[in-house]
Amino acid sequence: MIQIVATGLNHRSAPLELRERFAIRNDMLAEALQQLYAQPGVEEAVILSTCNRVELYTVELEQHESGHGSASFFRDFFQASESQYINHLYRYHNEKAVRHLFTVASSLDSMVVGEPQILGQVKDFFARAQESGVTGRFLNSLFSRALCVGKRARSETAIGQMAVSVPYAAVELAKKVFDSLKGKNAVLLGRGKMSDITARHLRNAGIGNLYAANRDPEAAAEFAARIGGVPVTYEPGLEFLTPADIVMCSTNAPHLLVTLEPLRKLMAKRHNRVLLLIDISVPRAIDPAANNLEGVYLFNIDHLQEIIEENMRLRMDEARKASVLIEEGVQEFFDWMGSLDIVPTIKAFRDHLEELRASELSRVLRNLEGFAPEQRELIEQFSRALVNKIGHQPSARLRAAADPERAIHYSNALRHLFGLDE
Amino acid sequence: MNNLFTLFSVLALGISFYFSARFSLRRGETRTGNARLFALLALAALAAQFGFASFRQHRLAIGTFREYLDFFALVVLAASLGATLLTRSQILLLLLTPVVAGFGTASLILQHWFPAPEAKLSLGNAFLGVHVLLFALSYALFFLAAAFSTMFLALDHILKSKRYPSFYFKLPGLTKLDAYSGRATLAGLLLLTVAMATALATLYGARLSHPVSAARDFTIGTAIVIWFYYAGHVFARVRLHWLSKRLSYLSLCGALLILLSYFAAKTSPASALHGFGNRQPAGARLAR
Repeated sequence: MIQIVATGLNHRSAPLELRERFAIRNDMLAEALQQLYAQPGVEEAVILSTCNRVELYTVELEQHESGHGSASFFRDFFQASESQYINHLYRYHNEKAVRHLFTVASSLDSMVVGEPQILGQVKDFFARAQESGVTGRFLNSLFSRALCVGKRARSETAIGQMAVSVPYAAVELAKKVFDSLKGKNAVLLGRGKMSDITARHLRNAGIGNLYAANRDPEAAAEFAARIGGVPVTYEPGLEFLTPADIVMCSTNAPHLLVTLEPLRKLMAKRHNRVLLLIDISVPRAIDPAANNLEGVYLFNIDHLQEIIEENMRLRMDEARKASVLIEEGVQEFFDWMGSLDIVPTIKAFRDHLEELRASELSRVLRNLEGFAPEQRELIEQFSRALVNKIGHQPSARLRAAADPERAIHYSNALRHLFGLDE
Repeated sequence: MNNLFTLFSVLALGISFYFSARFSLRRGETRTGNARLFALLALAALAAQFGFASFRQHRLAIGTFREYLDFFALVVLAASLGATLLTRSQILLLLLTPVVAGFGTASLILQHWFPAPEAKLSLGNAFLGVHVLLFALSYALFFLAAAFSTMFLALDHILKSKRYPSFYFKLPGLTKLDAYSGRATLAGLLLLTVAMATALATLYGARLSHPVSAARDFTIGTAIVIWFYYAGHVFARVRLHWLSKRLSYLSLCGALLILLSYFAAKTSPASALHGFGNRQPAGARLAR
């Protein structure tokens, strides 16, 4: 009997060092898929290996459960001792495995609930498995449904709509002020990691021009080269901010870099065009009084943290709505699995009974040549009625099975007991 | 029959308001519901009311004060729905459905509690029909501009105060709201200019035997004031680069001026061209 199995390590069950040890790089993936597929009892296989998880999704024959199939993959592929990972490994079967995959695809199992990358990653790893020829009708259907459920979770709930990191919150704020960032200019003051990440998010959001500002022209040039922007030199008069629509400040300067009076003059020069200032420096580098100027909107690190905390809370609320979609998806998948087997099994069973009837009837009638046609007809009718009566209960009960998993069990049992596959 | 249409449209607008409020004010709500559908039903009811009345009278039915209000409600609602579809902002419906419902309710109240001995006079002059439509459309655009300005001021306050109510997530971007308000104002001003030109064409076409006194006609007087008001608004935006916040307040005041202009038209004396006064049916001198 077949079963769907999910085996793996993730950020909840295993520390980073262990996940690093068992991560499957892109260049290793094809080989890993073939080795997993070659494991005894494995009928279909998909591997999912991201920064937060390494998971194997397999369709396996039940009798190969212990010590074989996907359970031994980690030991065999990584030449690792089971004691290294066995306490961190989780293993789900059938409904739990399906539910786990749908939860992963909907980003409910991610480190940051609602993160957008996981759906694309699931799609890519599934595509790689299909290319390797190690998937079949069960995992093809399962992953297609997982992607569908993941998309529904993102479109029918607000799970992915609210920023939960500082740079992303900054970009979301910029979109709230300017709607589209196309043609807008952003000046990044300070060249730390946060500025790099913000520059990446701004580029992804379609920002027009990125300016890298620094006191030191060489440092500005180096930073600009890193982020693909234009270098500008900082000066206290703030002339370098004339083209800016967004200013992101992430420095460790001990004093204010953007003060009120030069900013006021700058705004007059810009005809009061809207200016968004985001100051995540500690100590602050932009005068807090700048928020009182018309057309200027200033946010510091605390404001962004408040936004992020509120968004996290909202995402958890949305996760509950997404869970409902996941349950619907699980039910639909098992309804489909149930329908796969039942109809052909009933037909095969009926055909088998009919074959037996026809063969026995012809043998008996050969020995009853003296019987009148009416009598032979009566015997034929008797045989048909008997076979129908025998076949009726199993067929009806198979069709009426309470849940798809039970229907699959009954179907497999019927096939095995009557030798329908021989 | 007219009362039924108006009542239906007010009810449909109420339901539309409920759906747009549910979407706009519930954090995380993604279902837009049927706000636009019910607003469309209200629009159909108002249009049917106008259509039936015109059909019965074989002319455009915008001769009585009640019809005057209902026609303006129809145009404002049509403009709101169009803008909602273009901007995909349910908050716009949330702001404007009460205004339209207010016009509808006012027309029902006035009809019943303050009936005027007005003859239902149909207006047959073609220029007059165009003139009334252009005026209504230009004023509707000024109302749209005021709605966008309201949203702008709300978002400006939220961004300054760092307090995020549930509808924050449903508002369009700040500069986009300002741009919409500016475009609606400019379009309204252009239409108003053309409407005033058609007014002159209408008067010429009617060739009145008695001169019309604009000074005693409240509607003409306020229309001229409104034209200069919004011309100044556009000048301040384009040439003087006034702050968007200041322009938003101007926009709101302009909308109040238009409301005043509509309801105060009822007080114009009988001799006035737009007098929905107590004896003379409106536009009687222009009917041919």
